Amino acid sequence: MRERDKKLLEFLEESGAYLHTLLMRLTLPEDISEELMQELFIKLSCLRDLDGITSLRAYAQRTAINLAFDWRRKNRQNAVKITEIDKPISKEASPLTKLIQDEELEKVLDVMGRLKGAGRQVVVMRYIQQQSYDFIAEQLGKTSHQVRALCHKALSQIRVLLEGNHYQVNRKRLDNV
Amino acid sequence: MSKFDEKEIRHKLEIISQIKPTSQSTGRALEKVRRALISEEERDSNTNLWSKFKKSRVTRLAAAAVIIMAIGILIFPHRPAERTKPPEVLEVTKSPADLLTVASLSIAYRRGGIVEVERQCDEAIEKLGRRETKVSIQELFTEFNGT
Amino acid sequence: MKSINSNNLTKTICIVLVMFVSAPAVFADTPDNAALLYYQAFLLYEKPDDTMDKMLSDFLDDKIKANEVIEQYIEKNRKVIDFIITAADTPSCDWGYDYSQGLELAMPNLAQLRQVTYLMQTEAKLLAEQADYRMALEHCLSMHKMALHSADSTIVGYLVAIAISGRANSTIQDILKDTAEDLQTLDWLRNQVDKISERFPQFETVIQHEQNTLGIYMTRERFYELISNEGLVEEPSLLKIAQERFLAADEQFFTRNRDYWQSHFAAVKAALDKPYSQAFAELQRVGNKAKSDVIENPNATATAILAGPFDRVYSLSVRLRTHLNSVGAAIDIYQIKAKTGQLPDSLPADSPKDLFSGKDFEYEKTTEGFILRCQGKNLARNEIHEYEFKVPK
Repeated sequence: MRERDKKLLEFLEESGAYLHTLLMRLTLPEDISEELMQELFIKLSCLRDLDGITSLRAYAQRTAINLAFDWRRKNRQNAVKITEIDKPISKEASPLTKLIQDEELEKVLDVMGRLKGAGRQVVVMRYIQQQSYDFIAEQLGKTSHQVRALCHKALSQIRVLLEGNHYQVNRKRLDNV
Repeated sequence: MSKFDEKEIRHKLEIISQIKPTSQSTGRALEKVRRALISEEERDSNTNLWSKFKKSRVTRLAAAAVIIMAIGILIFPHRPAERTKPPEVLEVTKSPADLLTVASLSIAYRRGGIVEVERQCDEAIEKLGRRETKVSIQELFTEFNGT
Repeated sequence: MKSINSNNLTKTICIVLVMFVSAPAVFADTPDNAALLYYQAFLLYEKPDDTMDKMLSDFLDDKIKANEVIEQYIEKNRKVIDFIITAADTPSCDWGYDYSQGLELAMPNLAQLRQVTYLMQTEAKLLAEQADYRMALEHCLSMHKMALHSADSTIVGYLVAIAISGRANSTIQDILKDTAEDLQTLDWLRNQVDKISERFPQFETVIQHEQNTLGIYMTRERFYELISNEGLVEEPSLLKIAQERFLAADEQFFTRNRDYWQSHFAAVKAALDKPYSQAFAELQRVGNKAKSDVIENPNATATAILAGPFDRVYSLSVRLRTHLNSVGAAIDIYQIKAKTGQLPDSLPADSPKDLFSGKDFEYEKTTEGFILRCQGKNLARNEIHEYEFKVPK
């Protein structure tokens, strides 16, 4: 077996579960996260000079996030509702509250897909993958301070997008030509 | 839709962070990838045979070219002593400003098309060179004080 | 008195405070003129050294794969990219050219604009590799918008715009295969490509501008500038003829040269109304006529020196538009594939056309995807262009 494939298989054993969990949190259906895992590793095996990557995990994570949001955008109508999968349910919440909550979760995920690369990645790593600022900073080659600032900015953007306004900086890009 | 504040958003994200795939699903995902990687490796090893063959042909051709050149050098040796030196020409080099006028770029286009225009732009950039984008406070004080 | 004065003072202070509070807040808003943002980007951009330059060039030519050195280089220029994106999205761009300088007008911004376009193209490729296709395509559209800003009406600006747009089209071509099943992105992209196509300046605009701006040389003073500055007239024999004629020139000489110049451009504009092959032939004929007339006809002197190779620039303009049309037609095909799962057997109705022939592209399915081939030849290069598009396996 080639060195490259050995390296990828080792990487799969080491980080596969983590990446699969990440994909699932962002897309939700099990079969989709399984498919995207394949796509991710095929991309890694075809496109990259693996030896030139300091952190394969950081690179794979970034690509996985992009693949997941790409899928969400293409398949928004068919996206599985959060009610259909296992998640911790608030015991006190009424069915109507739960329904509203699920829709709002979908909206948050959809809106996150509209953020620019670094902001989106930082929000996913911090709030969905529950990683520390220091760890994220190390993965992205930035300082903790920069990561905090990116996080704060991204959350602001999410808030504004959810409220139906275009974020000032992104306005022209979202409106396009 | 209720009005969101950032605390709400973080709370929603926390809910998402608690979603976990089943171990069977993760197992299936990893197995599919393993199989995909192995089958790709098998496919590539077949094409590798072909690329090895091509490489070896290329290597043979390259070796042949070197031999032919070597023979050429033996038959027609280079005799630097007999070559007459070309007269020295004083080259007047153009500044970046000169290279980037309408006239200069238009002439470049007539000479060599858009490729020549682009080459001339690159030449001008080369001459402009790399420059500092930051100046330290200390440097500024030194300039002002002349020390 | 004292209390009245202190009351007045208090009133004044209150009025001033109210004015400060009610004054509009100063927002750090982006300027209306994209050129200001571009110039800031150019000042921040650090030209790569030779090694890095070669690496980037090889990456863009697909000779090497992406690596961390390239990624770090992009990150180092993050602020430059941010400025460029904002600039590209700003509708108006005034570079501040003084066209009265004629041929001596320097346009250093064009060289810098090309450099930062490479930066955008590099990041577009990196983003596509990391599956961020939408952002990669956004970068390509930014490149198109940069091209629109470059095309100020001078021939040189137009040429640089064509080069930049051409690169944007090629990068879109590469990325399209990865978005082949994403109907939403395809719909959006098709819409954007149509808008770019509408906004790209017509060649006629450039011709008119040339006629106006270079027409300034039809006076004694400006003609003297033309023939006494070595860098402005390329052909030594033509320069010699012009200098000799100038020495003997009266005012009628300049009037007649102006008239010849106007009639030259009238013929050029008339040619552009025709289909491509006829237009090209006519532009060649008109261009050659000025060069041959000048030997015997003093009225053709200024035109022979100043008139550009319009036939070749026209062909380039048609080539760019055709390339853009091929991208539009390809998106139509991808849309059908996304809906039906199969490539169509024929080109969809009303797809954008090959402008060399005025007809539809020839559509040929291949093992990798499909090819769109022009039915007319690019007469400047004696070549038939074809554009390959891939589909995912």
